[in-house]
Amino acid sequence: MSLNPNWIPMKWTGGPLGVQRRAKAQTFTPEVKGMLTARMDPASLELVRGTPVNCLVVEWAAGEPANRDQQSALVPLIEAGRRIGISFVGRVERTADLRAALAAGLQAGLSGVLVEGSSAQVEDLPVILQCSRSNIPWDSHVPILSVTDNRWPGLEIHETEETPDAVTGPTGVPWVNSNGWFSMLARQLAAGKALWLDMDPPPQIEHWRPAGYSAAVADSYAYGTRWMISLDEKLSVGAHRRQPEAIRVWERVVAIMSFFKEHADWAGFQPQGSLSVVSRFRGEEEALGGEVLNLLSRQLVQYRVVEKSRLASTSLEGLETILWVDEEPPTSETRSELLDFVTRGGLLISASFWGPPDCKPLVADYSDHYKICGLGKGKIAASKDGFHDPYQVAVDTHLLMSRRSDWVRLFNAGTAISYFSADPNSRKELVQIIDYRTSGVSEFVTAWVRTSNRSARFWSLESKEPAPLQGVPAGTGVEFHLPSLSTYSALEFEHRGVG
Amino acid sequence: MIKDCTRREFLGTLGTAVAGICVSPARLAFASRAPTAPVAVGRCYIYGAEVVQVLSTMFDQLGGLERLVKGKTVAIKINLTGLAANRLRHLPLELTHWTHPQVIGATVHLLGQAGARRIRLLESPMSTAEPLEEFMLQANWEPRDFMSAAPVVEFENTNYLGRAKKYSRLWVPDGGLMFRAYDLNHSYEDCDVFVSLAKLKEHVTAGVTLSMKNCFGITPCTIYGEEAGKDEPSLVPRGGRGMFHHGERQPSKSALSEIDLRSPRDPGYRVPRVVADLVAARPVHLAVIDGIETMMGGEGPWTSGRRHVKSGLLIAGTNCVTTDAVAMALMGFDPIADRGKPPFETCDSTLRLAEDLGVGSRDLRQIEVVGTPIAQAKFNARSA
Repeated sequence: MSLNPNWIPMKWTGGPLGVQRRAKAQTFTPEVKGMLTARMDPASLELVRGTPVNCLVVEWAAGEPANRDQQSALVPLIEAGRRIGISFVGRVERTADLRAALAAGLQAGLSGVLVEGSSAQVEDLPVILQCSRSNIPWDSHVPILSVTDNRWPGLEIHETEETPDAVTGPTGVPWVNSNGWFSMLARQLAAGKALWLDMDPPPQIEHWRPAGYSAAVADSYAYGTRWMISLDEKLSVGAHRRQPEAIRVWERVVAIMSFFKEHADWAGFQPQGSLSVVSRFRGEEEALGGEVLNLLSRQLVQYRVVEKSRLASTSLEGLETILWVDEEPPTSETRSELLDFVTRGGLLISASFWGPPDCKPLVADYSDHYKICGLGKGKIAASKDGFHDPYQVAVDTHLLMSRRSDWVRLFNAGTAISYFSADPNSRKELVQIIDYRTSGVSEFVTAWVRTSNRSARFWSLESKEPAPLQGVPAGTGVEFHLPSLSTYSALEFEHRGVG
Repeated sequence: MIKDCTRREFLGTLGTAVAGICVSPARLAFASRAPTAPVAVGRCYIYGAEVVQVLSTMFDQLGGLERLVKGKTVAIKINLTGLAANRLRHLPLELTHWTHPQVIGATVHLLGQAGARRIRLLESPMSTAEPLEEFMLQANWEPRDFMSAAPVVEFENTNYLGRAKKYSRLWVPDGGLMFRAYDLNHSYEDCDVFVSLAKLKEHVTAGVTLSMKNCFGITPCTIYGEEAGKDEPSLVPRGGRGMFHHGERQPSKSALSEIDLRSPRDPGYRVPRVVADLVAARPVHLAVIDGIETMMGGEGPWTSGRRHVKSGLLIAGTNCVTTDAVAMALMGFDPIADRGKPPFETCDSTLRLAEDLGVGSRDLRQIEVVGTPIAQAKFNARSA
């Protein structure tokens, strides 16, 4: 048995252990108990048969003898699942004897185990490590990493006694929770590995579904990571009982997963943008660096993520701006590379000034908070006060580089985020748009794209085939008038046209 | 302030709907002698090169720009209301509720040609202290186009202090209706000539938004916004000008509070008075209204009943009240109308209030219309 990075995972909580763990929850009802018990029945696999889901993550307990009931209950399910092409991964608690649990699991038909913690000795074993974002062993040799403490994607909702309101940011634009930026970061830090996002629907899921589930899938798959599908208890009970409303939501989830399965090549496309955000993204730099990425995404700024130790091996082609987030100046070698980038016409934005003393001071054309100087054909903008507020860093970066550097602008889509990626081999470009609104559709959305392509293919979940779209030139790009926008849509360009 | 009228008691018994008729004899005297000035009306159906030609003819009909701007610093308040990412359907903002860049560019070009020494484009974009050029880029505009239209063209976001050391306090002659003075970005004081370059629109709160209502946006939200600083102006503007609409709070204490804290909190009472105050405090030397393509039913895509209209009109004058009066007539409204009559069903007439302040006449009989006669260009804003 080995781990398959192409698995499409889903949590399959149930069995005696599942019942035991949820028995004290306020939401625990006879219906929930029935659903958890029934999940061990091979017949329950009908829900996932024929869907893109091909890996179920089950509770393998602590791998101790006391958990034998759980493991015994799983055996028929695993056998039946394997016959229809479904693999199983057992979740093992960190207190367990990993080797013993793994051995028992493999014998029962598991393909591997998922274990919490980053320090487990897992060389050559079919183990998926699951950690919080701060503790991910990016450099480990496991093919699949699972990450916890993700945000449930969607609008930040302020619960009131009357109606739920979307929380707005400083500019009045709705606040969006997304893991997209983290997926981009993870793809840089764990290149070649599959990344699973572990997150459960929030208790107030009623406000989100079914759009919430669609957004949860799109928010990870569009960026090349995989949400470990997790249904809330109400939906799970409904799906188990084949209730029409629940089945309708589930079919929506299946449809969007099928869409991404059909476009699996898109997951390999590389992020595009004229901005590169460079940081260590770990330790003291993790919080600021991550939040800057998050907020740049919210401003629709298209960027590439570079972990600073990899800067030397990263192509700077097409870049106009580099944001050096960390307070710590670069090594002399990296500094030379960055200053060379500036000399050739680039803009370097940094938390402090470490440019050459003879850098020619320029009048700040945006903010007095930056010392701006010219070097060769380019400029250095160094913060006078350091970087403290990630929102301000993101806003300043966007304005220092100027909106002339924008690659995508969206009109009438205040709840959406866009992601521009491209495949250098096929010369295809892709603008994916995820709308995080809780219900309905966004009408009259216009996407402006920095491209010379006047035609694009418009993909949506509502149609099997793409719709041809003709754009209208507007400034340095082309505007595309989109049909109604639901949770996910994409503009695909056949050849490179970014100007 | 109206000292010789017991307005407070009057309002207390009769309500705000008739508040407009409580005008002091002094103001009635002003109204009767409010200045007038000719207004030019031009037909222009598309945003092409002809905009320059039509505007040039109109400015000549008004006596030429040179006498007004030669060697002067000219500030132009344009109308870029709302967020740059909000459109009426798929239509670019300039075809519905923003002053069109072609009209801005043509005006800048003609002002430059007439000898303006320095031309400054001003606006207070919503909820941001970003440079005005950046706000324009967000709408797919290219601000460099304006810079090439005249020798010296500058931009300033006037929704906050900007690069000045302090705000400029502009006093309303004769005391003001809502505020005695307004604290504004320095740009509105540091100019020789002030131009209001507006859009021809209806307005949900003020009935119409033309060259006068465009000046509502000269006020900085750092002082007059919902999230303005309490004691001192905030550093960056957030939100809209709710305090002008509803009076739920007062400006930052660094500015003057409103004259009568017990005045109606009705936006239809307050907003027209603030606008009338502003055009009295910051006189408009040249009013230009872009009505080539616009929207009716409201001032932006966020209003209900909104619709795109091609009215094919450019309107200009050297008095903002007379210009707005002619614009109203072109929209099919009676500029003498006041609260209760279209388009002022729920508000007082800004034109009447400004006329009372002695800014200009709204009486068409007193206004010379040059170029296209009103009768030939008139349309019905309500059914267009």
